[in-house]
Amino acid sequence: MNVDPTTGLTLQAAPSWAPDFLITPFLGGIALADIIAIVVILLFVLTFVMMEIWLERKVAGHVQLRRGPLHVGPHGAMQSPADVVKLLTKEQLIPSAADQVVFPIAPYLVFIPVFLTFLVIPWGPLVLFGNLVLRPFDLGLVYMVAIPAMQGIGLVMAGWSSGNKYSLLGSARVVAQLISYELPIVVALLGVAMMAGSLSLTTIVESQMTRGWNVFMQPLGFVIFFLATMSEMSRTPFDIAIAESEIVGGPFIEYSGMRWGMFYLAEFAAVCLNSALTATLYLGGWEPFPGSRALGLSWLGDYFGVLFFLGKVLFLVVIIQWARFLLPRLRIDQLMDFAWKLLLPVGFVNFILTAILQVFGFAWFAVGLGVTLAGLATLLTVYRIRRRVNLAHAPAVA
Amino acid sequence: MAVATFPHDLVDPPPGEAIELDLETVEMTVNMGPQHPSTHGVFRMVLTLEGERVRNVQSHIGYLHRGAEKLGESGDLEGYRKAMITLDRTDYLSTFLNEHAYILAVEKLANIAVPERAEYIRIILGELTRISSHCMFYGAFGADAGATTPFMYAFALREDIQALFEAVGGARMFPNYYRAGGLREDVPRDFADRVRQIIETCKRSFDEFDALISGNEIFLSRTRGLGIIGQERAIDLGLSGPMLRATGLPYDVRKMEPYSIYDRFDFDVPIGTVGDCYDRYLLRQEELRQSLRIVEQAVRDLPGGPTIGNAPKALRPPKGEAYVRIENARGDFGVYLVSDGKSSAPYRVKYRSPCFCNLQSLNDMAVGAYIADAVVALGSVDIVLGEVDR
Repeated sequence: MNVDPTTGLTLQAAPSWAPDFLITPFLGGIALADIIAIVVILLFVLTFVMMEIWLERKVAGHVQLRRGPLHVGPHGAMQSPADVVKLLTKEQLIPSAADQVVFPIAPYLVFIPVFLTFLVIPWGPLVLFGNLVLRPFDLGLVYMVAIPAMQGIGLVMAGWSSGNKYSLLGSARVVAQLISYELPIVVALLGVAMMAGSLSLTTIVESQMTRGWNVFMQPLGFVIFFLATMSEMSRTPFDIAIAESEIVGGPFIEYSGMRWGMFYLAEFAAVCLNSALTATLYLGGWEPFPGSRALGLSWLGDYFGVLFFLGKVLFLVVIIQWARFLLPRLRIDQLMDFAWKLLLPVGFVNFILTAILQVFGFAWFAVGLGVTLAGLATLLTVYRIRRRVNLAHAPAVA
Repeated sequence: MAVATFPHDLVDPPPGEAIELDLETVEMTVNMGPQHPSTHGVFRMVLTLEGERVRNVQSHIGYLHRGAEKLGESGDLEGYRKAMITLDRTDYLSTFLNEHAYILAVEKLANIAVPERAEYIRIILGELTRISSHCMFYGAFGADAGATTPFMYAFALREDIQALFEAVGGARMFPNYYRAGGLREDVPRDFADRVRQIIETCKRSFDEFDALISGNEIFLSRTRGLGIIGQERAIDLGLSGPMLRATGLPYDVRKMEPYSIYDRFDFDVPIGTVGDCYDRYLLRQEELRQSLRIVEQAVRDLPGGPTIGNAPKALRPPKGEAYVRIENARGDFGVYLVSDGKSSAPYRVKYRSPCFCNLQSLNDMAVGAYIADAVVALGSVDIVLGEVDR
């Protein structure tokens, strides 16, 4: 452990095998290792996102009685690279009504924050490399809330500068959505931070190995976080900002070529990012399965942690993609109600329960959690019964 | 109460008085269509928005006007068949049903009898057309509400039906198959078997349709209570078909004034209770099943024999006029024909378009709702712009 002299935060030590010229900062605290790592992560993210787009199209195909891409490469696996090449060679139009300065830079402001957030994800502990996280630092949790939120600025810039009324409506919706859903996310994360007693993502993963995965200890927080991040990414059923059948793509409507591609890259990278964050915060990061340490199987995570982590990420990614093709879209008022009237209050309940756990111990926490879950289940049942009764207004037969 | 206009007159109010800020909301005019993914063709509406709320809807139609009626009057060589060619292209989703209406009018005008077999085949094809059209509604309505998958499911079924139409009439979309006194030619030999196969596919698919979105929480919250039209208002607007029946009035031309041989079949007319978008959706789901019942009975009783009587190829009906109405997939479709008794083409052709009348209800449903609701409400009307504009 060494301490950063400027911030006073503890930094995890660089792995001992690394040669000096790699880890010695040479420019403003940046070392060669950082640059290499950024390039590696960027390449990894781009590759992963392209494969993810292919996967999504496959999932879509199989959900919708089709087969998805088939012809480019084996099972159409090279379809996304082919699409990217096509987008790169296309003309990038700037409408004359658009703001000539803001319009071209907006896509990058959407993509860059998503990419930056990848830097704090603890991919896994390769024994050789120490924790496989770039620049492990103690404020990972704050960083991962703050940085992706900057996406909204890019989307507003895109919507406003396009000079199109649909884009304007779309960006207004983006702002409303981002503001509403940041809060449940933060409140849910309070629980996570209290469980681990730390804001460092690496510590959060390690604490889950001893205290149990957060998905079991924080079930409410997990659901809130997962749904709220889905909304933040504007994925169906929360995709009101894009809403093809209403505002025809929202902020992206006037974009073409690779600028348009950047938005989609950002959207799919965000899916990957949020799945990775959910896996880190709630699904035990690189631990193969809950309780592996007690069974003496921690070596499995130590050596193949990255694979387990990526497996969890892919699992969550497929769930998000699956939801996209089955659900209709919420209306804007319903979306706001969902955030303010449901997710946020439940988030506070979760926060209080976690405080009870820390102060009074597990027994009271378990009682509280049981009462809350039973209460929610009762509410849901009552609601469903009422709906059945209302559904009795199905067409009569004359 | 002191009224201040922001920000100029923002002064401290007198003690004990509340201050009211008179903030102005600027209305925005948004043009939706004729090129828009959810205006079902080339419909155009100019929305006046206040934030997300729709304050006014101005409809513009006529982008697809092709003069279908007038073109039908001028067919000297094709005679009475020409109007049917253009008729097919108006409501391109209820082709067989509309051809049936037209040919009934011609037969009434010229007083021509139709063989039994032709009547049954007309019923089968007509009801399959209704199923195919309601499939289209199902897919498009799902897409309007934001779900992409229903479209694919609906089109998989539609494809089967369309393939049968191709085998029967030689064309997938525009069959031009009915003739005064029967059909252009007999159906293929395996027709009945293929229809039975389609019945089985339909039964499976309808359950899938229901499972996919009918009970979906989001779908319910999007469509229920939206675009309610009362019974009185619906009659005033001249609505017909599912739009009218959803308000609770069991008005179906097939039951009220049975034409062709509809009186021989056992089927029910579903009605709604509330008259909202969800009722219209459920009602069409139920109509799919009722249409299937008719097809089942018709294919069971399908007799042999000729499919066309001995009517002359070139008709020259006596002077007079005929009006025939049928229940097509969208409502009460009427055909009015006038013969001058001299020429071999109709003197006047006029269609009563159900879509055109049903579309009148758009303002009632969309004004005051959200933009997203306006789109769903428009989808629930199930318009075909080819017919609205003719």
